[in-house]
Amino acid sequence: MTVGGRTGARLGLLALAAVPVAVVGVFFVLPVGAMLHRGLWPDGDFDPGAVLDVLARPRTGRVLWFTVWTSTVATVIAVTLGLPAAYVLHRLRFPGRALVRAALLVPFVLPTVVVGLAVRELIAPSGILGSLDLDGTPVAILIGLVFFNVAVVIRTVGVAWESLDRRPGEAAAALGASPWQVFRTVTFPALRPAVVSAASVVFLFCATAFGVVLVLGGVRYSSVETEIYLLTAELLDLPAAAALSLVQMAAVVLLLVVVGRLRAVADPTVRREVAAPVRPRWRDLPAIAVTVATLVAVALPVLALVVGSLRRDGSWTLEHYRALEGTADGLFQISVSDALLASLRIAVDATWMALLLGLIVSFVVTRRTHSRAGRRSRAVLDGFFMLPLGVSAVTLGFGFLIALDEPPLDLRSSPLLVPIAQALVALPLVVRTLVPVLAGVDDRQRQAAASLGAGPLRTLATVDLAVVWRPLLAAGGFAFAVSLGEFGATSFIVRPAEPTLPVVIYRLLGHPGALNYGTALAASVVLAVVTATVILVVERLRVPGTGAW
Amino acid sequence: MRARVLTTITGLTAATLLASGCSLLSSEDDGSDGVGGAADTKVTLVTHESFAIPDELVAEFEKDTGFELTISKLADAGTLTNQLVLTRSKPVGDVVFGVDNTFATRAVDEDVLEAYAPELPSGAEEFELPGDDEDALTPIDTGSVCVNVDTAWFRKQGIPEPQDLGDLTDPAYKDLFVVPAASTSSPGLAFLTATISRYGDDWTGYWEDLVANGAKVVKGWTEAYFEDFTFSGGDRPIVVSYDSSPAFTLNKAGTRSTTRALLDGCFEQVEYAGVLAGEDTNVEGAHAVIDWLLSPEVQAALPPSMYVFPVADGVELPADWAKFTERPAETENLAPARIAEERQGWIEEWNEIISR
Amino acid sequence: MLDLADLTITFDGAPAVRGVDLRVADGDVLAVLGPSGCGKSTLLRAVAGLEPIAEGSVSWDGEDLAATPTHRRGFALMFQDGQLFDHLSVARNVGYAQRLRGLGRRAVRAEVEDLLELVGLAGHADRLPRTLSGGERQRVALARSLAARPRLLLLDEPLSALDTELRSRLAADLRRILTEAGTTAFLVTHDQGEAYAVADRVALMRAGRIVQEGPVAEVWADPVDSEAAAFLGDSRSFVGEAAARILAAAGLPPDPGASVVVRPASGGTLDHTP
Repeated sequence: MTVGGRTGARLGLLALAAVPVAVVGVFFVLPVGAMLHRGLWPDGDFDPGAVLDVLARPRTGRVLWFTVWTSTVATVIAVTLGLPAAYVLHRLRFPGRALVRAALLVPFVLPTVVVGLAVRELIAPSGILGSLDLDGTPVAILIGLVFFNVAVVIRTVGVAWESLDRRPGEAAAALGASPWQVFRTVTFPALRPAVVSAASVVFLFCATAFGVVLVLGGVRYSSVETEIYLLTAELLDLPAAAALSLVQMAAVVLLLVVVGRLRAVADPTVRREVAAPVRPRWRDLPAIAVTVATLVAVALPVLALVVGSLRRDGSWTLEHYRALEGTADGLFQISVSDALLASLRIAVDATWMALLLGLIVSFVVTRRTHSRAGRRSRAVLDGFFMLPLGVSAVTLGFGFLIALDEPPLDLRSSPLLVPIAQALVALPLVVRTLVPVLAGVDDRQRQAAASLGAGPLRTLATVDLAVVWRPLLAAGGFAFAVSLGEFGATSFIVRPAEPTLPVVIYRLLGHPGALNYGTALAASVVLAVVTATVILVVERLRVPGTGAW
Repeated sequence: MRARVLTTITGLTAATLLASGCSLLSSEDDGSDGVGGAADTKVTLVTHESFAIPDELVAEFEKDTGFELTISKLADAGTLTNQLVLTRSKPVGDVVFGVDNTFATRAVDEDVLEAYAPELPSGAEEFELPGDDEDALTPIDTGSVCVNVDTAWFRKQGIPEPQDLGDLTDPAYKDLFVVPAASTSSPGLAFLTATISRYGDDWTGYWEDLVANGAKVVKGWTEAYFEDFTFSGGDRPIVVSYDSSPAFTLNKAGTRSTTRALLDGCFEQVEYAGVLAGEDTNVEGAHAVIDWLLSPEVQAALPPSMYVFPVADGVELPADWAKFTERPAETENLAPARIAEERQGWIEEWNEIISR
Repeated sequence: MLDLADLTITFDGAPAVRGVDLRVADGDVLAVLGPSGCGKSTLLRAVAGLEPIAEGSVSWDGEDLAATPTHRRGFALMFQDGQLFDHLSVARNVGYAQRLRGLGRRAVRAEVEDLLELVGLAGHADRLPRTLSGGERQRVALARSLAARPRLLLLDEPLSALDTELRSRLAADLRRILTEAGTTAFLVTHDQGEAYAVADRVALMRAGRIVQEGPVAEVWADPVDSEAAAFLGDSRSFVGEAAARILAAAGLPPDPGASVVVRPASGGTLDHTP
């Protein structure tokens, strides 16, 4: 008799979990561990003193404080703007709603370098807000962070809001509660988990922002992430970089634990009831006004980007777009448009990798279990795959270079390294999209299938795949967009002969010449259009009531 | 049903994408790119992003030597050296170009290079790295980092131009100076080194005065020169750049340059090439590349392509260079070994001053 | 024949089912009857292979099933709320198991029609489960389970979610269908009416243990202790099949149209109105 029954199922699950664990282990833990090892054992001896010294430096304190306060302020602003917009876009009915939703999502999937560039175009002395003299100030960074993250709030809260039962609110109103009182006493408490979840994710994104701070922060302002970059890439001060990385990871783990607690619900099994959106009423006016303002605020930098890409020496021109066919005077070994093709190919691979891993992870962590140990190990597993969110792209990028240099893992020049790294970055997003959907499946559906004679695979196909395929496609779209825009880790491991578009844009920015700058803007516009199209399709595929992260 | 059609289309597209070879998996990989045990006909040159040599010269090299040359532009100059140190003994190429004299000692000390002593063209010896007894690095080009002033702007404003480093702290030049950061830019570090050489232990005081006098610190040379410098439409007429820069700021008639380099307080940068130490290094190919970089053709191509001076004398400079650039007779230099040793401490102190 | 020997199931160390010994002979219908929380559903799930067993064994025709996964046991499980696959039509739900067996499209269609006929839902083949009433959904679930040709049918409170009227009607149908098909079945319920109406034998379960087991009439007539008597004697009215069997148990003549009311105060006194 073959191994069957319960033991077999458990072994199968274990084997299944082993795949993503191994991938994350090799491509994440190993490289990051190698970097930390070099930092903490500088000359082969463990030297915690160096780490403590770094933490005692006044600059370290300033960097930490700057990271905390900008992230906090940006989070507060993003939530303040995002809540009314979430309401308008998910509870009200008006023409063009899907388009506006997709438009507001665009900044989030734009490469951070492009976000930085767009905001810069806006606040540069020659820009629309040039007179405010914001260039190089913390305000510029805040604008960039909010621009980038407001979409997260809108989406996460909006999704919760659209599946919120209308009746308790109506009951409260019938008892004499004013609209504001209804919001305060009924609606907001019900939304709170989503708001907390969104706020913590935004905080996390802000605190680990790299490209935005790099482009907008100048040299005066440094966040933990850019400081790690500086310490690693420019100063080779690995002990200091390791110290900051540890602080960052500890903070992220703490945040994830807190979020996990706040987000946990007693019964994840749900039947999603989506309340039909209603026509706007007069009392929705303030919310609509905020939404329009947010839309304008999000559109302005993008507009500045488009305008900048079409102007040269004070007149309109398509020259920058024509330059995409070239190699920027030999700056690259391939033309800019070929770089876009390379990006797309890499994104295809990163997408299937992220989906495959994400699907397996989601599947494993949503299996029901009775023992406390089982539940705990799944929670740990769940958190494990969120870790890439909280580790500096620089650490990961350099880690790849030093950890993956021995056969059979000499992957430094493998064309698959970039998509693998991007898949790791997209993985948390995929998992966050799929886990609620799979957790929402009544386990007895699977048991019913099994009792009718369906094997594990067949059960998967009948029950899980039936509900998960649309969110899976949506997650695929996001993974694709994230991969297209990923800059941090990619910039360290991309093969010089095959740069991705964000890397090309960043390099163009680093090279003198109005044409190069204009070409960078044009390439950013093209990248934005491609990602926006992907997102628009994703938005169509989305199952109402799911898809938050 | 539109959504349904759309989803079907998306699904089909995804399947087609995978099946039709858009994935990297289906593309054939040319393998090693010359890294790690490649055939000996391939040689990979690792360099920084600013590297540029005309394609004809590359083709000529390949024809003459039979090596297939891959040029791998990794990062900026500082990051380049650090990356070499991190990947020591398992380098991502065979030969490196672009390690400058502020980073050279680190590269030598960390044993990332293998000895090679080519026959140097005349004039190149004076640029050899002091203290490099093992012939790890070969000088290829040089250029001085100097303060540049927009002479046209000063003439128009009727203000006398600053003449030396000391003038930059003069209230007459308040808010007129822009400098790339020492932490993130190699000209920035060169300028910091020059001030340390000039002012000794008082350099911190000098920088405090600079900051008090409104000096603007930006991330890189590009930002400083192309965004803030008045010549490029910015609002600061004093910038840290190179002694060759005035050759690129001619007036419309091409009769004279609208900027000039202050010859006081310059720092002389030298860029080196070296063979990367590693089991699989194509040593022969690496030697060929270094010889090629020293050849009269490449040396002559350096000024127009990379805005630097060749180390070989007797190479004819472009006409504009000969006419409009002036090289400092004396530069503020510190021993590379001392720079390597103290750089990090300096940058930390400097960071403190400018981010206060 | 199903044989449970000294079956014990624990949750994080706490026993939910303790040392249960039970047998279900081929063609028999056994009902495990007990209040909610007594462990009967856990017992059922263990038989299906959905709960790990701490001690004891589940075997079929003498073969220990410990190593046989759920889908190879040939025990179809029907849930309290049916657990139909909402995205599949009624016909595809019912034909699910046959398609798994690789039957041809035409054969499946024919058998599905027969089964829908059997459960009284002819003509509902192309409906989606969500458009059906609760009773109709349970009938589909039953048909789907029967289509698997299970050697044992496991029923988890199959009628509890329905209202009284529907429940008694469907209970009779269920009994008829099981008898006609000669199906061996294992039913757990907290509802005496459901147990009496459907099962041949009944086992009383309390706090994880089986306290009494025997033919329906015997158990009803002779509760093992006062607690069992109180549980069984809960004032209830029975109609149809259940009533007939209670009458038989009480030694009264069968009366097809009778409804029977049991009053606990009179401990075993029957009132029946023709």
